[in-house]
Amino acid sequence: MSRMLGEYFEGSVLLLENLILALKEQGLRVLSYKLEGDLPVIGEVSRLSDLLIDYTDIQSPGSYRLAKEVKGVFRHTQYSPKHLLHYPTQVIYEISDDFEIIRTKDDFPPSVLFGIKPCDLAAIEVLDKVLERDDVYQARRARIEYIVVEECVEPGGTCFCGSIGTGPAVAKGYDIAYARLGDQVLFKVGSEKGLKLVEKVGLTPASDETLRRYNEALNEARRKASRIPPFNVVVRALEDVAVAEGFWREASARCVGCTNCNMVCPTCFCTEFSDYADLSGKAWRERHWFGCLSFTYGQVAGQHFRPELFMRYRHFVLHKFLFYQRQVGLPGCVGCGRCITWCPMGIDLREVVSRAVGYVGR
Amino acid sequence: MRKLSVSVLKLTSCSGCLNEVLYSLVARAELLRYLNISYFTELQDSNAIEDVDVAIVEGSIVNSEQEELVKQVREKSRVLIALGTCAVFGGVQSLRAGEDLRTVVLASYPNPDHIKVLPEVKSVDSVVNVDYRFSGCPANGEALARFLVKLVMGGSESPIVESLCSECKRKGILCVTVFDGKPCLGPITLSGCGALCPSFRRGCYGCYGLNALIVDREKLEEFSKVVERLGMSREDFMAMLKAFSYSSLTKSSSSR
Amino acid sequence: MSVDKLIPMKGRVTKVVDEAPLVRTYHIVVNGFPTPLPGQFDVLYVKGMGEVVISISNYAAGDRSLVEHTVRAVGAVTNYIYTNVGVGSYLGIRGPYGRGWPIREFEGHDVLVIGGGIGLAPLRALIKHIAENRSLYGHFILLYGARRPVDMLFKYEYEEYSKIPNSTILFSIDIPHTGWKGYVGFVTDLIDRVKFNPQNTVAFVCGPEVMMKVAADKLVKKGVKEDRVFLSLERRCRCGIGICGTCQLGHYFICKDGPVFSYQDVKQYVTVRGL
Ligand code: SF4
Ligand code: SF4
Ligand code: SF4
Ligand code: SF4
Repeated sequence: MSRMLGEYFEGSVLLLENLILALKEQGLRVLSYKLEGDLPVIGEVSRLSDLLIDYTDIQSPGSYRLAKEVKGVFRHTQYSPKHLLHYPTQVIYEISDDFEIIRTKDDFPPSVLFGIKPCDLAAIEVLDKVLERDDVYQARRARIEYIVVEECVEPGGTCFCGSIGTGPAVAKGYDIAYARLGDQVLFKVGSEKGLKLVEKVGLTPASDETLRRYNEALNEARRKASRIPPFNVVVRALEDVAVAEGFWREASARCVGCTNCNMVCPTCFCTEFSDYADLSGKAWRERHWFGCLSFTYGQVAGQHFRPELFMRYRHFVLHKFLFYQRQVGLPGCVGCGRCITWCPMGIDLREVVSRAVGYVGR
Repeated sequence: MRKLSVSVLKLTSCSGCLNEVLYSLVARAELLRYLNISYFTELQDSNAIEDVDVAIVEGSIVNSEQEELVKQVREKSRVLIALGTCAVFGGVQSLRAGEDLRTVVLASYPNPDHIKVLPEVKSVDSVVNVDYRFSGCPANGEALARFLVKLVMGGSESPIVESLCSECKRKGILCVTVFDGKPCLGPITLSGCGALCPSFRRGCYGCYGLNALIVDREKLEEFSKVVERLGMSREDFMAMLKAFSYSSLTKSSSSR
Repeated sequence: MSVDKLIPMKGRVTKVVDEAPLVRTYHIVVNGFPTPLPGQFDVLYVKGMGEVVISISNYAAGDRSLVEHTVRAVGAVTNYIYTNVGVGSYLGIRGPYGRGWPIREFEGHDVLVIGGGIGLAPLRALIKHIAENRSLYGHFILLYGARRPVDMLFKYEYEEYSKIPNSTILFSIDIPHTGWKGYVGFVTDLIDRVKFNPQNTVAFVCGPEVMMKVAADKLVKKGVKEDRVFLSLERRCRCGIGICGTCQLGHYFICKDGPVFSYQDVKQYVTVRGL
């Protein structure tokens, strides 16, 4: 029987191991959420047990805990694929005494993003467009040979992908997607490459019963992850409150401008540059992440275009919900909830944008 | 490239910052060749204040002689650098602010009559115009050395003002507040240390000083509730703020 | 793999012109530099100090391309250039970047140019373009204001400007000055002192943002359409190619969508404080 794209397959959780090994056999580096000591990070894995397969992340505004439990449901960490594709700090070149430029070589081996989440995939799609002219990002991106997505049967405590439409299932942009239904795993294939891989691993077509369970689980997950009004409603509301200073002062009253939200957001891409020199005539430039909540964002020599914090907070929210849409045709917020979980003040973006909806006409 | 005359002035402080700077300079023989250090309390015994390109002031002001001295140094220097949290914010000496002066003096000196101190602790910043600030307890000597290289080259630097969390996140450190539930002053503290404490999985205690360009009284109050909830007593929190951010607490708006 | 787009070309300073206090024009020769358009900008790199975005105030195309940048010493990098860069110095240069003045689109129109202070720099190449292609444009008006006479840029060229046929040129200063025969007051006041046909006029404005907003509102009130009033905007701008995100104004990247915008396009953003 020949297998086709769009077909569903199933297998036991252990088949994920075969998948990882098959990818490694091709000489690829497999990157996934994993533990380093007791810390959940994103990085290279070599077998299934490296993944956070027996853990559950318990997320709420300002808090993240990891619980070990068999058949855990793992979402994501402070890190996202952004950490791999859009490096936090990078020397971009060195320049010699006689103005000769030595470019930094950036060796990024051919890799696989494994077990990333639907929101992560949506974020990559955003970065692909907004960093279109960033050759380091694009070169690294081109080295991602496969994307294997784990769909979310159970959204996390701060997730709201359902409202944005970026999760909990994926529709395109992946090679293989899988969903964990207890010991069983349901696989979807999104590309010819992915299909070949599935054939190698020896999956069987999904039974009607498994499909039914899958659809049920995903529908339930979508319902749970719809924690703010629908994206379009939020967009219209924000268009209206954009000019209401009072709304933004109130929304940012507890914000201390620490930029954690910017740093962990999988679609935030802003960078700054720092210059260094030594007296031998050598100099170098460094490029690093920069958050719009920091004081300096909007400042130029002699004046400041966003001197007050509420202005920068407003830019963060409007960029995510209005401006990306106008810039690259996609929502800039993928509903991952990271900015909520990792905000030390526990400021809840969902509340802010939901309140905007209520604010209309006041 | 030109040789710079530098005077280094030490006020009330522990000399920790100057030590950091010394380490960084000793490792940079090429930079030292361009610095003509004309007055360095720690190394030389010359009290004549000369006209200089750069004055580096460490320490806070606790008596009127020091205040006078700083004003004179300001007049005689093209560029004035406040080095360390004492110079920028007042530093640990500020812990005595608000206490009865005599009690404080008696606690440290058996013969307090020779001790001349103001009831207040002042940062250099609050007395004269400061061109560049390198806060930190101790300050980051490497950062100052890198800056001196630029000065020798005839340039300078515009600071990027951000909280410690930016630095912490760029380094890929898992947040100790959110992940471990430990109180951390990073969100309200200026960056510059390289997120030293969080990299050892400890909370920041704010030694680079308050990011007062953002954090006003109301935000500070909100923040105090967060660290209190995570187990830091209000007294401890206030003591840390007083020790490392005193001048920005006493001013209604920051001079930065 | 490297960020090739952020690697500068090597330029050599061949001439430095004193314009005004703290303002100098630097002539930079760069082999094979692409020919800019009026209103575009370059990113100048000073080794070890950093980069700065500077509008192109004049250029000459060719193999040994010559680009002129008028720099005011306000920040760390511009101060360095002002005090240390002279004839023979090397600077890194990237560009030309951004969308300049829509000169082709408005051929056949009357042109009203309004500049304030250092804002004349990005307008200079435009004025030269109009002078050199005189028949392509109608009546030409230049309104230029500065704080004091000494702050006015390109004074050595005013005579040349005054010879542009079918043109009106008015100057203003903010602070009264002995010997000044022109207007004293805001440059935007001059809009009331010239005659133009709003239906056939395109306006190119550059100066402090408040001044540009006043000018734009005034012109619109007089009947110039919002999509025919063009402003050259400034923001914190780093990479020049729309990847660093620091220059955003609403959904625009000043560097790649601007720096020149029609008032119609940016009105929704520039009229809201801090947006
Ligand atoms: S704004 Fe917050 S919820 Fe949205 S994508 Fe960024 S981190 Fe996730
Ligand atoms: S939200 Fe802020 S930091 Fe994030 S991409 Fe937008 S402007 Fe940059
Ligand atoms: S993480 Fe929270 S407190 Fe920090 S800048 Fe973002 S919203 Fe403000
Ligand atoms: S550990 Fe501290 S400094 Fe680091 S992100 Fe968390 S709160 Fe900020």
